[in-house]
Amino acid sequence: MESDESEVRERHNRMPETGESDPLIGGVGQDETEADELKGCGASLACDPRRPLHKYLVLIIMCFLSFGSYFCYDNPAALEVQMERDLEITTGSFMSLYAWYSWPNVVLCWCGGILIDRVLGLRLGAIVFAGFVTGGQVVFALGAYLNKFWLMEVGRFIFGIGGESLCVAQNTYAVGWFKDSTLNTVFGLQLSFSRVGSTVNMNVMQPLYVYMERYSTGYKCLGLTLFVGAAFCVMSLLCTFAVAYFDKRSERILRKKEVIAAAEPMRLKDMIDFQLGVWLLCIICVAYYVTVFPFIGLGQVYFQSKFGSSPADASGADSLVYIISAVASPVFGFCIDRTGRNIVWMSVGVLVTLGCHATLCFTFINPYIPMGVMGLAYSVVASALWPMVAFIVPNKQTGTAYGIMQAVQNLGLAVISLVSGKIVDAHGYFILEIFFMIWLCCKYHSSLPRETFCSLSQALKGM
Amino acid sequence: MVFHTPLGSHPMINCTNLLSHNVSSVENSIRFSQPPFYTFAVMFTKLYEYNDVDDKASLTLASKNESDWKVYDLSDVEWDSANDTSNVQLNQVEFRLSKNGTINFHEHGYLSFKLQLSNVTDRGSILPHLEFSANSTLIDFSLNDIEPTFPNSRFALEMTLVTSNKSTGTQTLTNYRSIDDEHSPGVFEVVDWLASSDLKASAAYLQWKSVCYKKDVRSVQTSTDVVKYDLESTNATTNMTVALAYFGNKLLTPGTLLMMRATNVSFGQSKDHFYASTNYSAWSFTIGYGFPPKERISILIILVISIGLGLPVLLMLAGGIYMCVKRRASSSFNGGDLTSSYQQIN
Repeated sequence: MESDESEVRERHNRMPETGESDPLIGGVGQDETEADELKGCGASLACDPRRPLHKYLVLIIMCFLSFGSYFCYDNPAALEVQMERDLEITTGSFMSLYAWYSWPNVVLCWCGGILIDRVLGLRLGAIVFAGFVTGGQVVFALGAYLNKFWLMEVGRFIFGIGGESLCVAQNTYAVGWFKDSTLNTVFGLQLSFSRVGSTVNMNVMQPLYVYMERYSTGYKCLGLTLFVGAAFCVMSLLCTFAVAYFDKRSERILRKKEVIAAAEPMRLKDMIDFQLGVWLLCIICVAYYVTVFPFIGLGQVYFQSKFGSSPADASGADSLVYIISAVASPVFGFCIDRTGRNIVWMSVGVLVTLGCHATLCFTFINPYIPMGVMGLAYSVVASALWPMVAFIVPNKQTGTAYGIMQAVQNLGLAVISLVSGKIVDAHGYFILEIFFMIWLCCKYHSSLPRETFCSLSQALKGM
Repeated sequence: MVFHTPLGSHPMINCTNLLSHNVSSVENSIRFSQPPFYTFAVMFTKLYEYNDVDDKASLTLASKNESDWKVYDLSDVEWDSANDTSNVQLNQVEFRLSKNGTINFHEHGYLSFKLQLSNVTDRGSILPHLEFSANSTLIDFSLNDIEPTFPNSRFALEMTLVTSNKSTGTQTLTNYRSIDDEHSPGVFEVVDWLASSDLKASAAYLQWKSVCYKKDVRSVQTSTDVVKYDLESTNATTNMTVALAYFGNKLLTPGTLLMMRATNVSFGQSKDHFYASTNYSAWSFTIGYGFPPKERISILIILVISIGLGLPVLLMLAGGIYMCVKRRASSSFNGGDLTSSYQQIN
């Protein structure tokens, strides 16, 4: 994938037109007089924005947008044992690292969505948010290096300001470029790349920590390991520049106006006035995600204590959801594109997830099996869920709608992460699993009642 | 030491002989007016301190070098008075050892066995909340503020279980995993030391969970492992124990008249920074007559499961049936148009 990306970059560098090096977010329309006749390599299959090939090449860079932020998001999970030991913190305060990411995002990525739709525009927004991600990770690593836990929390906070809004931007880019063709597949693919980020993290951080132990020990070693994560954030930052450039170029050539409604007065109504379907999607989303992500955060220790797995095995099983969804998401996305029926796909995925949690809870079957199946189920649910938003809201509200959905999801993740840590400390993992299963039942239930059904299908018909 | 006697049997203890320092006087200083059906005793014979050079937290992998070991004999020590440390209202008795020529206690340091009794089936008030009843005793063993001899000191306890040979089968030490860690978060493994595998016979047991604690305030974070080792036959010493007072010289020839096995448990796991990090180790176990309780799912959980999972399922079914009926009803109006209300979305 790296080579694909560099290939695109190379073409980008070889681009002959001097006009291409204009400021990325200049006044809209200053280039509109330029002839839309493309010359030289600019007109080749790969560079002509009217050709699918160009779209897919840009998609590759687009996928790398949030690679860094996903890589770093799960740094704590990959190093849970080391963090609790080196920094001498409880599981409760360890989980607070996730809460510090999620809490601000309860509001911030909603704001992020609005900023994208109305103030900064998509391109500048993406760059700014990627900047926050990089800065946050640097502060986080510094906190670990100096053994200042509060500084680490600050780092996670800054990281969070950027992280989720960057995803909103990525989703909005995807809708802008692919809404009329293969949106489910594209979402699946982006999801897959995010998961690749998490997977690489889960598998790289442990060996990296061991390697760094040659140079230092304890929290200093932890800090150095985390600095490596920051390098991936820088790479993502570079990608936001690249995508902004291509987006601007295609807009000029295809004579589209950027969807930025800065001239219109800001109205609160536009920010919260969505169809019932959007809110229901939010509830569905949150009830499902809380049973997957907080669980993965605690999974490693759970597998070690209940199933007697070695730390490496436990970490492997824990990251299996990510690995599988990385492969399966685009495939399922493609299937859903072909068949439609997003809701049916999603309901099946939820039932399967419920089965996985039950298996983990009541049996001693090797955790690799339920976690693998959960990975498949998660891919189905995620690639069916997110595109539905784009189908039921108008284009100018896309950013805001994704912002709200992520905000609600973060609210859920923040609350449930804290609650999960407390449940484990007080009542153990068995009760935790029961708790997750109840959530899944609620979710399944909320996706089925007649109102939901009707409003969603109405919305879909109205497309 | 536990005796199961016929009703109306009286103990007859010759205190002068029991407390004497003469082995032959101590022998048989405890008698009963009618002989007991079944008798067993658990003896905590030795405390080991070893230098865990490679941080393996295992007695079998530890250094064999004699200079890395210290052995404290617990069968011949003088316990502090239990009157000050016990609480009769709470059915607690605590035996402490704070002055000893060989163990290097800090000023307030001590070694203690705290016994908790109950006339009903109950659970310990602190982690790991072991279950005990009228037929068993909950014991908290702790090592407070002992100056470790080595920088990498870990401790281990040697225990011997003696039973009158009325039971059949041999003693076994087994561990199993429970699905439910409700009472001891994160700890799934339970260890049972059974005096007999014959469920109809009289028996005795020790039960514990594979966890001990490095701090007075017990939590998941302050927990570490307890390692068990295989049972070994032993022939008891002539040390001054209550077991000697009852069993007498039968202890010298175990196997024919008595069943006697010993094992060790060691405290700590790899990378937990050794005993010296907190100067504290505490471990809980139960000793009982009969067979150990199995971990089972509590009523509370069954309630939570049935309400939390059952109710949504019921609602789902009800909703599903309602929808089917409704669709069938409306489809008969539309002349049997049964097409789905979904639409392909792109």
